[in-house]
Amino acid sequence: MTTADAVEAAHTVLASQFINEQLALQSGLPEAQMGLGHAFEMNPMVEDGFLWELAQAQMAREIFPNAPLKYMPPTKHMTGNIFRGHVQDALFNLVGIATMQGIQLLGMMTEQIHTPWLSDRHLAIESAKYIFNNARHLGEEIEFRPDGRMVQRARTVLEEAVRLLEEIVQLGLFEALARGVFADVKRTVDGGKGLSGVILRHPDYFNPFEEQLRQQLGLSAAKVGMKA
Amino acid sequence: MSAEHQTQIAKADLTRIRPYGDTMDDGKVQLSFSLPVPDGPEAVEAARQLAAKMGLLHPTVVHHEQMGTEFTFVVLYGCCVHTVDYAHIEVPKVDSTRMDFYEINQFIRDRIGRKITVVGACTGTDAHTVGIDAIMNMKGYHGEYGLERYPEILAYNLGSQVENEELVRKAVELGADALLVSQVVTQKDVHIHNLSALVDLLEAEGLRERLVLVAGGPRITHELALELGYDAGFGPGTLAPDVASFVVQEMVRRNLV
Repeated sequence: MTTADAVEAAHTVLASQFINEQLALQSGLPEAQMGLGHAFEMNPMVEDGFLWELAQAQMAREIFPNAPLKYMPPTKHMTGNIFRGHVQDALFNLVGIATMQGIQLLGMMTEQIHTPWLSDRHLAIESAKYIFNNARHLGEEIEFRPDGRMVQRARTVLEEAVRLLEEIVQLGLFEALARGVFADVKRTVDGGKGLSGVILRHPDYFNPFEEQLRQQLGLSAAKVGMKA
Repeated sequence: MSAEHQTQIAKADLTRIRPYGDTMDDGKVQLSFSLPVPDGPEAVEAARQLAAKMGLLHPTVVHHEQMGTEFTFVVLYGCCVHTVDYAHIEVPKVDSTRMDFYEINQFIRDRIGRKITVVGACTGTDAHTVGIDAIMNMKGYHGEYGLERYPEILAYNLGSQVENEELVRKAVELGADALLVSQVVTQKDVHIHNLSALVDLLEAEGLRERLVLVAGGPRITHELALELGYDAGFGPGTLAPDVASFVVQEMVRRNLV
């Protein structure tokens, strides 16, 4: 979610996580391998923004309890002020450990400036180690007020996500993508890149590994003579 | 604060300015860097000597630590011995008058007499649409509508990873009056190559003179854009009216109406 506003569009992130979860299940991927992605991308100047980030991450943790969520650092609101950037990344790390995200991508204080230098990476790891150790069991100690702002926020986001998914059921996934439902990025049916990599399977196509895998995972047999 | 006390605050000599830590002309700077040697007294001394060669007096290493097995990270302070003449600095700037949303649309109606077409894209392999979106998207950025909202502007945001050839093809197809090219990624100066390649392509196609060509991005300056053959360059903090004001005035100036 780097394009749309992360506060307003939070429900589209959750909706896409639900869709990705289904795609993963239909591909035979176990929950323990689902790195469902989301990011710490709200404007840092928003009042209580940290609360909304924490609510969002905790909500994802509770909705997908067995998935190692892939949590991505701030990039959109990194400015070139490396000192503030390092603080933003620290708050991101704090949310990561407090909500037990499975895969924490580390933020770079020099985001928006250059491809990270050795020292940028070093400082990022140092910060993550410090915060992950210093707040190790924070997540186990926190309870959220049932009638509080954060629970309310999570509830609203979930409700909006469900409403959006119901709309997408009516629209169809491709039409929803074309309308820019996710992150304001519009991908039309005849636009975008990658079609050259999609090939028609020959009627005699045979892949012993795929058959074995499908059997193991209890998936139906592959169709041939159609786009894979 | 008493008047007497105020007079004691040193004034900067604008022909000879240097960094300010907490006292006028102390020249204090901070820097950090890595050295490809293991941490130790020799690494610290190497950092100090390097800082002295950079023109820093009394270099002090305040922090040093090993990174991996063969590198040292250093934080260092020193006093810069050099000064620059601030009073006589001249920086090329976009010299159009900044107008607001309403003034720009009125300007187009009065001076151009037709809707203008602006095509924007984030070119090459760059996938960061933050910049071009801030300028073009309907709802805009920081309280300013984007170009898509301007009734007198037909704005087309082609999005990211648009090849220069594709951008030129679209520009012709849509009859563009102006091209906005956003470049965020600057790894190995890829933005410079991308931006110059577009100018070459437009010149080869004989289109350059018919278009207002604008570059934007966090590492883009007006000076750099001019060097690369663009009409203007816009850096961080630019909003839609800054770009639109320039485009419409440049069109009138060059009689592209």
